[in-house]
Amino acid sequence: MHDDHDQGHHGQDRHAPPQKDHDAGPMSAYEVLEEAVRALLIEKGVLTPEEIAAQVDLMDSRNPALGAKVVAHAWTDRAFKKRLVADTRAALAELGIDIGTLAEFRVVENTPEVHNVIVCTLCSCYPKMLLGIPPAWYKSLAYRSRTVVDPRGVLAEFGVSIPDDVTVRVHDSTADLRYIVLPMRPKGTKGWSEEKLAAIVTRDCMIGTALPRAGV
Amino acid sequence: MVKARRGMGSREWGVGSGHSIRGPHSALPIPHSRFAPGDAVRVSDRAVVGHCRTPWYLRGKAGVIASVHGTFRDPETLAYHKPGLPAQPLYKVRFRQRELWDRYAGPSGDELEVDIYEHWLENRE
Repeated sequence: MHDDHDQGHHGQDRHAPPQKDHDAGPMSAYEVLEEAVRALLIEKGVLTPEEIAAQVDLMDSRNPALGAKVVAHAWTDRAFKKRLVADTRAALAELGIDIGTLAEFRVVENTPEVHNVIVCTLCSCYPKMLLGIPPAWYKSLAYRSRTVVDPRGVLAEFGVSIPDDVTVRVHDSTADLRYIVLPMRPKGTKGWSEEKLAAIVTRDCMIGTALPRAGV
Repeated sequence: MVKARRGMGSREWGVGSGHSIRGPHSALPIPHSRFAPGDAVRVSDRAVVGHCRTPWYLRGKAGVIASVHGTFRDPETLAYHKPGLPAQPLYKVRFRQRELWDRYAGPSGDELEVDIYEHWLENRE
């Protein structure tokens, strides 16, 4: 280490890394609770560590690319799109996607008349089995509270401007259903393959806080 | 204690094998529902102690049934390790933003849709 290492800022730990370790400091009550319950479930033979690891792997295998694939398929297959909106679980199963039994899924379709946005004001319900782990902002108090009160203001901060003659419809997913937005296929994408289309469907497009663009 | 565990064992609750069996949040096949799409409803303005999935900002607000999702276990008892019965029909209820917020800045057509269980909904004339 260099000599100037000792001339750290006063009052600061000069050895502190620029980013805090996620397990630095005392555990929160919920972290303690999680460890205790997990240990008990294993000890009592309800779950094995292997099953827990497999579930973590399953969750990690779910990410926005999976949702994007579904959207791109719906854009290129009109009959599939109808089935996807009518019975999301069955339509996803057609693509080999099992959304599990913990929640039902609904696809809400953006149209020239309606733009949909998803939020969960009570906690952070999110279509994890299709989009993976939600972004931190989705769970923030600011997003959760402001999206129901001032959706257009929140959308503007994401760079999305919805004309006044288009209805903004906010979905507060409070119960047993998880929502995903089916965005409109943008102009300039005629003849594109499903793979090329999927590449422009970002996570935020499926939350409703972004619009897919052909140029990106 | 051991008996209670058996009564609501891991299979029924989806613990450990949640992707092959019906979990607590799956729709139950109970057909009767009190409201139909288009019905004018009001969210009950009552207090509750404990877990509840009806947001406070909707208490007493007027909406319209947009669709019927099916019947689901009641989260208010499910949250406390009870079976969540009787199961409740669950509705998608549509509200006009301007009726929810006095100072809503967007156009009058803007809407909010929320899933609400039947025991939180009242008839509105």
